[in-house]
Amino acid sequence: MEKHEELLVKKIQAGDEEALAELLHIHYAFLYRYVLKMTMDAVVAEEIVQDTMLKAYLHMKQFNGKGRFTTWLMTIATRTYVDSLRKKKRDSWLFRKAADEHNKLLKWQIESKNEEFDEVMEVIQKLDAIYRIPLLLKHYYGFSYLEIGQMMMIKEGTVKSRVHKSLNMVRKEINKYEG
Amino acid sequence: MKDEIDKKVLEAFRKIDETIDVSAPSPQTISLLIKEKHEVHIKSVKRELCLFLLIAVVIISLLLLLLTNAPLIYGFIQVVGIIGVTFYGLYKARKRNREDLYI
Repeated sequence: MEKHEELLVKKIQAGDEEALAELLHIHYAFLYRYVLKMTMDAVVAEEIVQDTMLKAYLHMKQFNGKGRFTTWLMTIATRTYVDSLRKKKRDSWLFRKAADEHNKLLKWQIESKNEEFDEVMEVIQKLDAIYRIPLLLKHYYGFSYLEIGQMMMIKEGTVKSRVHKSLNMVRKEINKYEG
Repeated sequence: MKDEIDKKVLEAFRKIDETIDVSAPSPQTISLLIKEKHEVHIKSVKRELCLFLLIAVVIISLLLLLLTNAPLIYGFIQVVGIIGVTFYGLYKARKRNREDLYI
């Protein structure tokens, strides 16, 4: 961690709100991109990022500074998103309708930059979040199964099983596309 | 085959990172945003607390009412029991009398 960030972390542990705002500003883009890949939904990503920043503010004194600040933020964001999914399951038909609309927004955002929203992205977007999140954390961010388990508050064995299953599901769907 | 899928998945995530532009709000904006969300959060917590206290008061009131009126409820059960047994006894007696008449 850079010296400036180390200083900000010490201030945060002492309850300095301005230091927290500055550190969140520095890592905002990283946090947003992580949440966007985790949710594959641009609208939900905005909500989760804001809720994450609020929770970081409420619990800033609990950040012990041992791990990276970005890992701490990712943990908060992951748990916030998983909790929101549990609440939304109660209104599942409404949630599915809204999710369908939001999915189109991410596709539009990527295609407007002259990039293709290919079948792999579509498959990842359709994956259940409980499979997509471990896949993202393991294969893209390089976290260990143990670390992912701690972030998602599930057993290491469950993480391994979900990563394995998610790859199988992606493979199966891509094979369907390729005929 | 497994590596191929891994590569495709990594490529998909990498494309999202590279394509989506993110402009970070200023620290002052972030502070304001957090303060607003915090106020909403406090209101929500207060609302939930009031609702919890209201339900608790209703349940406790009902329980107290039940306990303080226990003698009345006991007396009611006694009266219903006495009337019930009396009518049952009369019904049984009338039935026996009818049987006796047919012998």
